[in-house]
Amino acid sequence: MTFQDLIARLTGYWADQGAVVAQPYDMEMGAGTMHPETFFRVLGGAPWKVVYVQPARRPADGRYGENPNRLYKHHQLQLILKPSPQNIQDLYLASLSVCGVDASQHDLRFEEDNWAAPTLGAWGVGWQVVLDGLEISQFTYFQQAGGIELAPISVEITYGLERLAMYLQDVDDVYDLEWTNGVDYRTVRLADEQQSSRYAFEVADTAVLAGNFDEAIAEGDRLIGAGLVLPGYEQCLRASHLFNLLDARGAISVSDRASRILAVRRLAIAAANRSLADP
Amino acid sequence: MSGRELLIEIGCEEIPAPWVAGLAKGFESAIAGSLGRERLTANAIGSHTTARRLVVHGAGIPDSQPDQVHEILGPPWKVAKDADGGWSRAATGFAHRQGIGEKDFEERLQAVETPRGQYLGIRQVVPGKPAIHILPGILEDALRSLPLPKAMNWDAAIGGKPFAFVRPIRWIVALFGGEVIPFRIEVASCAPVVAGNHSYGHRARTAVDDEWPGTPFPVDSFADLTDGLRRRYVLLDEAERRDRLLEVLGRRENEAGESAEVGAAADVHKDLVEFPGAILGRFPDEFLSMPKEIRDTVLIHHQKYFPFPTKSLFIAVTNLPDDPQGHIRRGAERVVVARLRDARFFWDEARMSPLEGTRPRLEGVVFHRKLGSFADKANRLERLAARVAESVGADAPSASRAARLAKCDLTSNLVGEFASLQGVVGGLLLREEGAPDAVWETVYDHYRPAGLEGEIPRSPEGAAVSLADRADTLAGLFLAGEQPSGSGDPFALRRAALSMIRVLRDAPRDFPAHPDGWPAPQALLDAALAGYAPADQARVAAAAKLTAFVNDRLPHALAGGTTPRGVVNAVLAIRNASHPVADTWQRVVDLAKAVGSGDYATLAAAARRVRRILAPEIREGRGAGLDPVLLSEPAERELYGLLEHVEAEVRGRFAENRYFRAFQALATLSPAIAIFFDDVLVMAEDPAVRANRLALLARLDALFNEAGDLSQIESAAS
Repeated sequence: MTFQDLIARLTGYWADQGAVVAQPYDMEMGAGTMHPETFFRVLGGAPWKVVYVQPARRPADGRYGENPNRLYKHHQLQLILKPSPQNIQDLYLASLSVCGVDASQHDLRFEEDNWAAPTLGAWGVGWQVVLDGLEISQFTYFQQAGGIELAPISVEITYGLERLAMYLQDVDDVYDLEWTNGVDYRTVRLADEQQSSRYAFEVADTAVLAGNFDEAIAEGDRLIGAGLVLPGYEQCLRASHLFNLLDARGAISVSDRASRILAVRRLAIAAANRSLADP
Repeated sequence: MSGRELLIEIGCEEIPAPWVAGLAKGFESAIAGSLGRERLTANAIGSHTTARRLVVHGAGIPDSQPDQVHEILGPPWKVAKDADGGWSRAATGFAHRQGIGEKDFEERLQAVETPRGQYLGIRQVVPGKPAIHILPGILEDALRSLPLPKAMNWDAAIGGKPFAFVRPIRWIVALFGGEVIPFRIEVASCAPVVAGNHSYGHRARTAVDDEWPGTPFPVDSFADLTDGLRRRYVLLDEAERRDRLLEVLGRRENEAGESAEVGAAADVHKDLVEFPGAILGRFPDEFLSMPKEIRDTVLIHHQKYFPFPTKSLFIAVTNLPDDPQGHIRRGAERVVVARLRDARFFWDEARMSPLEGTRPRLEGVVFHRKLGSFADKANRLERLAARVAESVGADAPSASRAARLAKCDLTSNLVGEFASLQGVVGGLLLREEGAPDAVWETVYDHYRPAGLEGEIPRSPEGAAVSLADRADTLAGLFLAGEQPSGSGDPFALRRAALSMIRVLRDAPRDFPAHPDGWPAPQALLDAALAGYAPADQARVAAAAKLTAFVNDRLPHALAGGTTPRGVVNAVLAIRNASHPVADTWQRVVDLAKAVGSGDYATLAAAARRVRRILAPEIREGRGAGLDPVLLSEPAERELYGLLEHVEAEVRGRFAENRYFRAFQALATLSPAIAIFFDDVLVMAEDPAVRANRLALLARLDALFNEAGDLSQIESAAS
């Protein structure tokens, strides 16, 4: 099964379950959870089902395209169901069988793994799903987002697409993945990994990044204050990514780290509260 | 057997393995307790569990509560009758209030004896309720009472009241004598979870013909459930799961031709699976050249697999009985190889430059905001470790060099990736560089032990650096005002203190040139504090807090194993953080041994009695002014004579640090003390005789106090 087949099948499966198929958010972010389709939709009482792919940028994980398992940018398939259906574990297993994983022939475990994102004021409890020793998904019941206790509870399932595809295609190097027939992952993505790694580790101007970070926080405050929740939250996403870039450059001291995390978190919490106040 | 069977199965999404056993036991005891309180006591009750279910079953539970007779009291009997012998107005008024008509007066109204005298009363029979009506409440209370390390909200409620649980509950079997107990958990915007008589087997396998895995199946009893689950690849009984796990591990070991390194992990694994299997995986031989510590970290800590001592093989426990197509083995091998490759990349990277050369990087690693970097810490450690090593006659230059390099591996990517290898990586790198054992082993060992348990450093130099490191951390964080409060101990300082006490207790003592033994905790911490600050007020305050902190940990640190807490308390009455731990420990061990072999119950009772009788100023006299001539009774003369002899023996042995012999000698006083208290009236009328007897007891008390507070001993045994 090619990489794009995998995306199509999983997306199609959850679409058949009634999920809205959303598109990747057009900004840099570290995880699919940060997409407004998750961050804002888990708040409040309205039911929601959504599935989307989100490229996740983790500058510190960049390896110049030389590591077979680690990427500056990888892809997550993210699902949110609110409320969480009672047969959610069965639905999840069925989604794997759509990808060709016959649960009766594989060792599949739900291992405790509680998730927390301090910068989003969010946490949840759940598991990592481990298939024959490989972590393929994160399965989380959200308890809090933007510092707000949630009810009803949403379930979030995040599939690590590269890992799952490597497993299904039986390849040891992510760049050997078949993206579609005759086109491999290397062809599609290698240049991006090489250039992004160089940028993050060697070229990025930390003074500029630090300035941009402060601007994003200030601008986010201003926008959220003006009731523009989504544009304000976008500044929060921007700040979060700038933080990750600075971190990858080793340009954040320990005391600086705490205050910058707090600044991003404050923005996220403000956006969440404002969005509930004026729906 | 009379009575009915109770069967409860709470079907749950995967419960985190460390909680599984405790939750089942808690559930069982909550249900047993409620049954008892409701007078529905079971003849037998038990519990079983897997990661997906908590099962409690009870046998011989009565159909309903026994009837209860209540007495309702009215006015005192003496005002219940008129002068003419008829019922008084007080009596009839009471009867009316209880709804008793006049025609029933003679039958229902009666005299009731109470401690306060005779009263008019009636007896009312309250019929017991059927158990099936009470069980829903018992089930709810039991579920709500379970101690959850981390509860989750899952939109659930019982009887309208929110109900958090460890993970969402998906099915409930609740049967009383085969009858379904009416019980439900409401789930907002979803169907409720309603108790019934259907259970679920393994998610992915079943041995039942024509049945899909995961199909519900009916059950009518515990035996039926156990059997039904077994046929659907769930072994409900923990012991059976463990046995099967050991059996399949044994088979894989036979295939490998070597025993795997399993240890206590089998007990954890049995709770991670419902039906244990095991596969034997292989990795390329090239990884055998990488240090085993690093390989094992990948296999054990990351993958929970079992390594072998010499072979390029591993065992993975599975939640399936077999792996006919080899999918599981290939998957496990792929993950292992990828991780080993990562680890080797980092290992090779770390080996490229000498460890010493990475020291400057420590300046960028913050130890604590107020306490500077790990480079600063390493500088303090270098001095403190050398001082400690020197004071015990260990190889101070080696300890100092090791301390200088001990933290360097924190900057390596290998430790960044495998944090549990801190220290070990530094040690391995130094070994590669050809450093002497006293240096590389010391770096390797210096995080040991993690707390009270575990291995301690193998050499005195390792112990010195480990002690210096813990003392430096404790001293620094107390100075920074980070002492633990309540349950909050973010820097794990309690563990650091326990680790320090443990090393002081058990560190090697038999190497040559060993003048005074390992320092007392207080002296060690004072030396560590001196590494941070001049002897100002803040440091004095921190020192006092640290001493109290260590004193608070001593009882726990010394009470390990079979040593009764009372013995520890007896010794700690005269020993604390200002005394060498090994000596205190020796006293504890020897006193426990003496208590086990001599009559310490009499000594403890005497110690309590003496303390009650003696005014403080007499105690302080320690028996001064005792006049043997005034001792008239045989029992007191006997005690005095013996005391003269035993005192010398006890003090002599204490002076030689032969504590067991001293404690043994002390116990020989027991019979004479017992007879003394039986025969002699201490508080004699003649003031001179009385004062003399009190002086005798004060002298006895003074001798006791050299051993500790013996009055603590019995309380531990009871």
